[in-house]
Amino acid sequence: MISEQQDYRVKLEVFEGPLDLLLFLIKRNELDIYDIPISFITEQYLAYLGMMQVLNVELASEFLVIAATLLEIKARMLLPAPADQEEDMEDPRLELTNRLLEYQRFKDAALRMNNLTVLYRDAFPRGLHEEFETEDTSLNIDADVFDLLVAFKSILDRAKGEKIAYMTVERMSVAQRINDVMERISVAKSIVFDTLLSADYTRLDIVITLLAVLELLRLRMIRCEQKEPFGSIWLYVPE
Amino acid sequence: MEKEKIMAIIESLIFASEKPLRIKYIEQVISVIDLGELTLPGLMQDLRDKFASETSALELLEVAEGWQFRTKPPFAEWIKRLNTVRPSKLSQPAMETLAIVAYRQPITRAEIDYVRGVDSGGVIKTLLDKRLIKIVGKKDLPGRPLVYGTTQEFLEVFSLKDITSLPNLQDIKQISSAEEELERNQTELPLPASEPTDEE
Repeated sequence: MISEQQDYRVKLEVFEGPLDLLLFLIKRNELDIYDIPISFITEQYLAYLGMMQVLNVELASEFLVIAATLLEIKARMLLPAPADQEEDMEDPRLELTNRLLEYQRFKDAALRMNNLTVLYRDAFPRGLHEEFETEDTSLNIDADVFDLLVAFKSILDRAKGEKIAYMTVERMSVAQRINDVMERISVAKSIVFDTLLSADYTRLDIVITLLAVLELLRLRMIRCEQKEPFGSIWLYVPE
Repeated sequence: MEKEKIMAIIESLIFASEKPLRIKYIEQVISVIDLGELTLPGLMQDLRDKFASETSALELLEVAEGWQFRTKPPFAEWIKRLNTVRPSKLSQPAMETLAIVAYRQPITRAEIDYVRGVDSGGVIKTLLDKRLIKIVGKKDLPGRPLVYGTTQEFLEVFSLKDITSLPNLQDIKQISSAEEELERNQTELPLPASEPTDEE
């Protein structure tokens, strides 16, 4: 109708939520927010959700709530208004439009707030502490399973170029891998999660390694830490 | 006492104060001085102008209903080279949530969730931990939900005199993509590292 179906494949942005995604779709298709072609936007929205599912990206349940809202609006728009109420029937899209406008206002407000003079970014009062760059372990964050999965995913991405060849695979068991990992950690005391695997490992190896690490964490035989969000994950032998 | 001298006294008070110095304390101290024709607001204005126009690296700001000397923005880059500042950051969702609380306070978590269309529990916790927002009471609704508002620290961090000095909320005429692009690029906002970083 407005653009070709193809182009939802082009971008895979990370959206803060369903409203963010809807605003993006409206903007990209240059739609009028006060007159949203509901059937078109529903189709695009569902296509995006479908794509996320294909990619096995877990969607927050809120995305589905808005999907249901869109379908409900679409259904109500198809129903003829009762003849006697035709005049004052409210546009079924109104509530959604208002929510989108409201959300956009706050996105703009956040931007304007970011342009203010921010303490410790743009301006400094007296009282800097004289502690020059030192190794500060207090800032380390305990990494959780989710962080591990993110790291796991980036390794999977790196392993993408996997060649197809048929051969008998000598399968490594999780138990073997656990011993392996423990051996490496006890020698090195600490080790970066990523270095357990190099790019030429197969998917299976990666999965087995992840399982091994998760098992070791569960048994509290190792501890994992992350120095900063999205930083490397370190595995330690607990003292 | 001549004007320059009184201004210098006020300057010393503000310099010696660790937090933004409230005008009532300045008033108390200089109440023993005969101001004659001069007024305190006028003196504050002149003192502010003195720093603004000079080649001084400092400026006198009215933040969180108090007065404070701060370095002017062009020097921020240099101060950061001291490496003693360890900024923590606010994510885009955190900024959005903070904006919603700032403009709509007092507000419940359910109301924030509704505006953003997503669960805001994690972000609210981050903002509470960074002391940018606080619980200001309970709403007279079933379940007596907590309501949130911004803190004194919030005003200090964003260099605001009071909550009414926030930039005006503007009505959206159309969804502009230029703005959106800008916004996507501004995901990180450094804040004082008083708390462990707790990214969304």
